[in-house]
Amino acid sequence: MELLSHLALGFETALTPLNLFYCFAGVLIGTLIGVLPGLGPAPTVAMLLPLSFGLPPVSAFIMLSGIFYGAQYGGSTTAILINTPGESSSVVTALDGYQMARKGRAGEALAMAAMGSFVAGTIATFIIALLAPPLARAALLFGPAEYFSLMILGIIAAIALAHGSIVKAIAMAILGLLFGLVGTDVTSGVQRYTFGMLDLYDGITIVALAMGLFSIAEVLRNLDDPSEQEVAAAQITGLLAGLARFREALGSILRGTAIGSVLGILPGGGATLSSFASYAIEKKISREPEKFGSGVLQGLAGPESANNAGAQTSFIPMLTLGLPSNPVMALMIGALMIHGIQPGPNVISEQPALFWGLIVSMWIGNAMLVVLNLPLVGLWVRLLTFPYHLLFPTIIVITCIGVFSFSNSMFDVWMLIIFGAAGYCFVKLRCEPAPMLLGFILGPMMEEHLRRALLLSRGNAMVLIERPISAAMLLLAALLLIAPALSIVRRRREEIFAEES
Amino acid sequence: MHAFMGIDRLAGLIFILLGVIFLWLGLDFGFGSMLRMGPGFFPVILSGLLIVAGLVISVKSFAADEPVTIPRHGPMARVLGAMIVFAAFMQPLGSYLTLPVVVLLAASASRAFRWRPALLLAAGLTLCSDLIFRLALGLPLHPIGTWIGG
Amino acid sequence: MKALFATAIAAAIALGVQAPTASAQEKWPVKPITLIVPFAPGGNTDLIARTIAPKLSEKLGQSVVVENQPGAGGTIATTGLKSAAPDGYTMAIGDISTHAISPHVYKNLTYDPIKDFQPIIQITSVPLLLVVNPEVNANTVEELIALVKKEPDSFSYASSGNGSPQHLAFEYFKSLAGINPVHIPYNGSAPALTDVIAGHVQMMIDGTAVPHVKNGALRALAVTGAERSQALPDIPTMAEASVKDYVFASWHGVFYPAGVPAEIVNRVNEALDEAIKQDDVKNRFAELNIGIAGGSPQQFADFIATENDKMKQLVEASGATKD
Repeated sequence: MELLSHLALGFETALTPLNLFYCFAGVLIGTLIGVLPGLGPAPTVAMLLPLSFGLPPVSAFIMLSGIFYGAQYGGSTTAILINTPGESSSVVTALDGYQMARKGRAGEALAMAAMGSFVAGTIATFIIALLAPPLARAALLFGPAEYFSLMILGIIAAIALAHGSIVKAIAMAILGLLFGLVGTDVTSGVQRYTFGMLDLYDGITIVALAMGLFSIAEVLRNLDDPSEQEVAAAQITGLLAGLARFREALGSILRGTAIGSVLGILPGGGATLSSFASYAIEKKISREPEKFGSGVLQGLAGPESANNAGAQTSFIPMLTLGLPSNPVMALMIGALMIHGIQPGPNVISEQPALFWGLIVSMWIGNAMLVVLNLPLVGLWVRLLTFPYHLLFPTIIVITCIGVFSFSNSMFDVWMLIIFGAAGYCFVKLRCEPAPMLLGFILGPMMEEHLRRALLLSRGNAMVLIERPISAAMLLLAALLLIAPALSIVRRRREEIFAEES
Repeated sequence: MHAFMGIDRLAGLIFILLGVIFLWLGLDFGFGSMLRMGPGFFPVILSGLLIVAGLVISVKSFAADEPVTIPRHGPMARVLGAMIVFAAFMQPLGSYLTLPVVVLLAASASRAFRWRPALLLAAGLTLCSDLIFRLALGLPLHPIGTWIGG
Repeated sequence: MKALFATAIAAAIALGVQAPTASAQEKWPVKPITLIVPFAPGGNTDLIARTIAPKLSEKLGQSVVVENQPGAGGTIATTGLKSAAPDGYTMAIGDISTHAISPHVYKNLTYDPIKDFQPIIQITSVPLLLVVNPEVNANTVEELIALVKKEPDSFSYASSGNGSPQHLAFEYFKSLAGINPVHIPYNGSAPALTDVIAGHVQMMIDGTAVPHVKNGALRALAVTGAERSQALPDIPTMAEASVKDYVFASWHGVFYPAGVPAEIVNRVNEALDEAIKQDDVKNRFAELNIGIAGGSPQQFADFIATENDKMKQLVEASGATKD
């Protein structure tokens, strides 16, 4: 079989001592930097890009990919431990993961994140090996109309993130959409809500907004209520508890993997939605949806797997078409070009060792990530026993530096301060920040795609339901809206039956 | 402090206020038409929805609400103050002078604040962030700022 | 783990505080030089900076540190350069956007592209490509113009944003060819090209399309430079393909803030002029479809003045604004 000979070539390339070393180095450095609050995958890869210039292309690429998923995992670690999601996808990880940590189940949460990531990474790697070229072509079917409908689906998923008042969640999502519009309007070039400040022309930096709303607000909340600070350290269930509950979460992991693999392929923001979508689905099918947001294992395992699977399959458009689906992939294309390799479909035929070596090394890297992190779980958990009055100034300093480093801009630190204060007010008012963040990410994309779709159809709004993929997604969104009503009806019926029997 | 308002009513009023600000600024962008949406289309629609959501929250608050508790403002002022020191002085004074002040000011927000561990933490963090962020990662965090000849 | 970090730190120290070598006797440079890239890492401008920085460092005997300061289409970093000390230790890459287009597109920029900067050298000249989706029934520019004229309502073109070089280049083409396809702006080249490859939009003028042309995902009809491209020698120039007088090329150069002593400017100019003519640099740029420029600071200054006049007209004709 052709695939077997390809995989053999891949293993031959990836298993050389040199490449194994760079894979390990990448995963390790990525994890170590990724755990620093504020340094998500994109800035980490950007900072370490120059390290790869001197290496042979295959090793360079294996290392950069290692850095990418190492940083991704490192980001989840801090999201779970101290509620500091450095990027959009780990926001969802923080929702239930941090609550688990506060209840003393940090070890379990970290172990579950590692296992979920590994299962997702393994499956997604096989998907890339088997299906990359046809999937990449399928992704091109997504035009502006399809993206708009996908975003609508995403916004509805955002409301499922709420675990308190639904109306407040809707208001927060709308507020997020509005903040997302700050900056230069892509379609017309008009500056919106920028007050003439150049620093706002590209919009509010997502890291500043996310870190302010989540980590700074959390520090302020803890200081306000000192009795809660040491809760997490009280009794820490370990790693083994996490492994024991693996079977319980397996369904969520597999569903998350499926969602992440599909959405990750879409160029332009599909992957961002995967963890939100997975959370929404887990909550929908759960028998105890009201517990989501207070430390539910499925609410962590599903999104974390989706996140990792999406990260993996986002390589597909880059490797097969030369099209970056997110900022990290744009950096990867830059790295390929520095090594004199033109990204595109020819990479598979012209550089088979690179392509298959990279794919195999992805799987090896994911395995290394587990091997590396399971022992580290104990260490991370001990971090929580560090006295809070020393931990929180550290969080403040590293968060400020991390946000600054995102684009070497002090303006972003000022935004961090503003959103930190705002986030604290929202906590006090029982308004949850997660829907606001998703709205912030989706707002500009949704508007851009809708206006582009209407420009292309010369103002014919019917295009949204004339195109089959778009229509299917809108239908799904409508079903999601109606579903809660249906489930109430069903529950009533069950109650009636229960009474009769 | 006595409770002067319920949290839901306050939240509702804040959403209405923000909605009005976004709407007022958004009216200048050019609404366009349904077929060729202008840059003001989304902002106006969204601000309108935000105001409606705020109204719903406020109205519902009359049924049941819990009073707003005014938090202690000392810790909050110190933590935000520490971050403001970071943003304002990191570049002009450099990390060696700025970071210790940031750490001490932030640490003093805690009830468990003691000078000795806080000073040690300040020294340690200043040194570590210089090693990790500037030397190992190459970020432009200058140890000596531009005001003092760096 | 410790060893690895130690190595990383040691490497960083070696890069960051390299001891001044042979040139220590001469006064400048005695400390590392910062080369600001006004865009995010990984793009063309970043690649150019990271290619020339080590060369410059070698020739000046002092390390050159690349620092990315993305934001507002490069204008934040350019505004910052204007107020940097004119001591020769801070330089920045500038391009057709920051120094010729943005000043006419943005209403509230606080820098003057000519008075506030000391041009050092023009590094590149990047011809763009007119590409169409392969399903578009046109193999030459003439056929394309005829096709668009026949069905004016069914054609759109993509650009990487309002007031981007790609947008202005297409507007220029529109005015000379007498056609009027609808402009669909995107946020950057990559998503725009993606939609052209997928067929959602029919055409675009862009500089990064070469690999997609080579693998058949796009069809190139013309290059916008004065001469044919080395990367695609079979593709005619616009002038050869019936659009008379059409020349449009994007470019990059290196700038100091105004007021840097002439000796320093000339030294950097000579070092960079030699560096970009080395074979490895030339080859790397050729692979990326980037042409080498070069020349004296004065030549570059004159070029910027003409570019500003040309772009001002194009901006006014196209109505592109970012107010």
